[in-house]
Amino acid sequence: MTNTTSLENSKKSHYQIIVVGAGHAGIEASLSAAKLGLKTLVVTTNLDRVGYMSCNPSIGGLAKGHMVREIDVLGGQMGIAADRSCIQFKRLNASKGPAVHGTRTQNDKKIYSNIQKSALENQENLDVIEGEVKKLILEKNICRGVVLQDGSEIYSDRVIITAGTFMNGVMHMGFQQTPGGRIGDKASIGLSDQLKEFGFDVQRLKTGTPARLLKDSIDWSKTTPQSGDEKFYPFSFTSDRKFYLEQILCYLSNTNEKTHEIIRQNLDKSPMFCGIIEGTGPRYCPSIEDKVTRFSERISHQTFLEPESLTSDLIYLQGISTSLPVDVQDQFLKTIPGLENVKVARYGYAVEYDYIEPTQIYHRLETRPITNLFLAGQINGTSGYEEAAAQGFIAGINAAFSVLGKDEFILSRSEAYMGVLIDDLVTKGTREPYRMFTSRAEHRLILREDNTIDRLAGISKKIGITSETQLSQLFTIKDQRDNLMKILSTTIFYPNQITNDKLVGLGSSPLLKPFTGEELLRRPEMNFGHMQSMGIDYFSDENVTDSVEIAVKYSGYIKKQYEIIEQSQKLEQMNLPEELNFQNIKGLSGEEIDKLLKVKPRTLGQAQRISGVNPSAIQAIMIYLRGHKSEKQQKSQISL
Amino acid sequence: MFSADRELKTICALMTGPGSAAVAVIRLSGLDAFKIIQKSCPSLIKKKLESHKSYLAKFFDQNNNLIDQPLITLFSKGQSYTGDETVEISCHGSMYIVKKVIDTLIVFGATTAEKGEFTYRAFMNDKIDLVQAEAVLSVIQSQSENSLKISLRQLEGESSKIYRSFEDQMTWCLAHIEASIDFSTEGLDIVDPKALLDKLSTLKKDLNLLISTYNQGKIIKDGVKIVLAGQPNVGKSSLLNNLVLDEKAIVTHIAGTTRDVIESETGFSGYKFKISDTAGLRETSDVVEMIGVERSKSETLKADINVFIYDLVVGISANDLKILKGLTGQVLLVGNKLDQSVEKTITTETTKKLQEALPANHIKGHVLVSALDPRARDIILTKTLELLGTSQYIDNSVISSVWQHELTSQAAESINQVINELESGLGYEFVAQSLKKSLMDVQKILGKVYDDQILDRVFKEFCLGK
Repeated sequence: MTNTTSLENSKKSHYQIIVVGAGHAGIEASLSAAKLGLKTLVVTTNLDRVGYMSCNPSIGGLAKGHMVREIDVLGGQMGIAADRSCIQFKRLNASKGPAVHGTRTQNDKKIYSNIQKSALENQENLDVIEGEVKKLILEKNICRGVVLQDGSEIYSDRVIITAGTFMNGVMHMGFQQTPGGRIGDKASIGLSDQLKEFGFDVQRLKTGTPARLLKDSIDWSKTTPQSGDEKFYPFSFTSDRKFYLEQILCYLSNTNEKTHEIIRQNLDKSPMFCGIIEGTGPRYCPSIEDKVTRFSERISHQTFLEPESLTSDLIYLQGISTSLPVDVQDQFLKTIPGLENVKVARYGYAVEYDYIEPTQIYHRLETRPITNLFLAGQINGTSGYEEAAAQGFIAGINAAFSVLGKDEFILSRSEAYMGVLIDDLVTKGTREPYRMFTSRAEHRLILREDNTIDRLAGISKKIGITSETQLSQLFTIKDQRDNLMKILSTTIFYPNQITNDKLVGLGSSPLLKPFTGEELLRRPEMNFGHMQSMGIDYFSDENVTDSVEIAVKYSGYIKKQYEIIEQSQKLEQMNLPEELNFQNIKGLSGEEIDKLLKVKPRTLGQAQRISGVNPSAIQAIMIYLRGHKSEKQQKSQISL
Repeated sequence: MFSADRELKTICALMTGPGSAAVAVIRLSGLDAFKIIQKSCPSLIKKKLESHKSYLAKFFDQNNNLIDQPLITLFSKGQSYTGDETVEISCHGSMYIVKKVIDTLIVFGATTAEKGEFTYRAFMNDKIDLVQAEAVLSVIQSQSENSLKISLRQLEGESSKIYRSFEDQMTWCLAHIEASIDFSTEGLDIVDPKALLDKLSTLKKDLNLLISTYNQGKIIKDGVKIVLAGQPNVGKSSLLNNLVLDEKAIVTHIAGTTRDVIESETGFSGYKFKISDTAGLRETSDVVEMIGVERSKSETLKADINVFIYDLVVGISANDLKILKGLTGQVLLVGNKLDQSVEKTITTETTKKLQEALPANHIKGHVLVSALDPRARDIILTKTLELLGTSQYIDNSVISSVWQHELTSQAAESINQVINELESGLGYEFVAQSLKKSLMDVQKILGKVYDDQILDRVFKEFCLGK
């Protein structure tokens, strides 16, 4: 077992993997590499901020919750920490269909961070040091290690950068600018300049965070308490299905016209609005300045007051991120009911930072220009803890696999949201912080939270970081589901008096012909509880029955989804040779050629997803490939 | 589809019809079009070549023999029909000259174009969308005023515009449904279910309206098919001759003179009519006539309108009723020999008899004429157009091809499903899927979604030189 080691010791050793950063991406990257047996080093600028939740105190949400479950089944860490630090639980979209349910936990930030820190400390093959990586050691286009702020060099086979918002990070609060990636932490300078010099397309993004308020200064009577769900569906299949911690309330309040008026009058002091910030902000997580301007017809915006921890006085003001000056923040906050006398512990601010345009990386998250260099997390233009963790996990596995001489590990768009995430990034690139949505997944009906185990248990086994006991746990659930499915499809109900009486009693209609259990369950009014009273003798837990019920009930739609994507699946199977020269293909516009050369799609299906590449271009490439093939065949015939 | 080794080729073909004519036009298009024409017309080498300009030049073959002095019109890249560099050579319309010109172009590096290849290149170069590509074909094939009218409108992008507006509306609905899934926690009332349903209902109505134009579109493009049916010797052939203003069928007083199906064409009120005279449908022991009768029966299945003719003088016979019973589709009843008949109007007794033979919804009209009277043509053809409801559609956009009809119908069906699903309270993610499917169908029509089969279907019907 290793521990936080001394700088001196680390410098002497040669690592197989170095992970730069210990945020949500860095943790998954380093743990997965170390679990695969590779000697791994994590370099973080602040040992007290390992796995720190820099912004909102919650994990999951729509589409994000899906990814946390996926990471968990594959052997990752995020779900475990989220379950064990959960202080309020909610299943979002519960009123909508089962494919778009989203699990979200609100978390005790301190506990979350502690769990992650000790996960790193207790992991075999893993060292953690405090330090700032200033440079990569490059040998032509091959990365050989990193150089720290004191000039010392640490060599390694692979380097994974998970620098978050730290590369050339600048914090804005009104016109006041401070270098840094997060309040209390320095920016990391040097690394992105080196990448830029090497020829990487490096761009700016921005993100923001709201003020943190002191609990005792809030008049809670003017807010509406919001409780979480009583029933806990943990992210991790390894977690208990009862809460680990005391569950707390959040509180709802609203902005009003007064609030908006103050913000409008002071827009000229917002660095976003007077052009000081060049980076593009997240459209989907707008600042309050944005909301007031863009939705000017709305006279109120909701905000949740969320405790950041069971043991701190800090309240997170969800939905009100801002980069206005301190005095303006004070002014508008006090117009919000309950905050009339509020005391601010930390004011809101915006962060501007460098990211690498992600079309420059392969699906395995290794960069195209520099071999052995992997990137994961916000550095690739994403927003959110979950998006970062998903990439960290994939980068860690691939960095390790490449050292071990194994094939690259890529999840397809039809297997996981994680696959959608990475394919979108490397195919389309991004000009704003990329956030996952269920609508990004064309296989949405298949990529559900409830069937994560069915989708990924086999893949988890192949990766090889999930323990034997846990694998058997996964496969027990999967087998039970398969088994139940078999029982349903083979049990036949005949239209006799007893059956029909029971059905009528359950509010359904009598049978006119024999039905299988599966057909019966497909009736809208039937659920699995009903099936049990009909005599389906399989009293397993709902972890098994829920997923089967959904699969049965929506099988018609699921089948239709397969039909719709069949055509694109065909294109997905048409591989584009790496040496394919798009310039030689007639019928492609200059813009299309540029985009294709930049992204270098692996398949015709991926080419089709590049924005600005028209269907006629796909036709042209296909024709070219056909001709190419027959040309090759002809040549080989001649040479014979 | 066109093979890959062709894409870098410069293609050429005769654009005008084969056979001697005053002028013949040959089109040359592709990367080297200007280079090739300069090789055959050396006088163009020194000139500054401008797009959309014509040059009179001497055309020589590879052995320096003068072939002709054609008018050469140049279109530079991006400004031509195909989007590639294009040359149009208007030479004297002798087939010998045409052959020599094309042979020379080939020697200098061109290759002969395949059917529809010029238009295909226009599509590949994003000069036109799929609906427009097909319209090019329709314009070439237009055989009536109305057919040309709708084809031109499609070519100008009228139909594309309608499909694009469907696409916009579907996208709007989908965006709102998706947003209400993905932003349900933001406290915004993103979608008003009633507004959504209203929009979808309008969309459904518009799609169905467009679909209903398919039969009209087919009629405008292909012409109205009329089949004349009836007992022998009721005057079908006389009527045919009157309708087509020609002596097409042999007319005698001997029953069973017409042995085979005779088809003839005529134009009326901007439409093309294809009129078939059939062998009188009767029991016969004559082998030739028997075959004729069989053919007649199958012909009536293909008709847009069956015109059933009976003899006013003889009145409705049992045989008439038997033939009537065998007819499918829409029927126009025509009582013939009005000039010789005592009865000058349709009696209720006749109507009753006829309606017993055929359900009322098949009988669309009933007129009395004399086959030899010139007014009979007007009466019957006007009535036919009226029955097909043609006039009201000419100014609307019209679907005229099978694949457009299929996809539009599919889209309408999916929209209908979306409405049902919304009303039954199904999860939005399922509703979104049905909506996505109809959106994809519309995008396929516009050529925005790649579909190999549709491209094949559109381009395989083209003629050479287009």
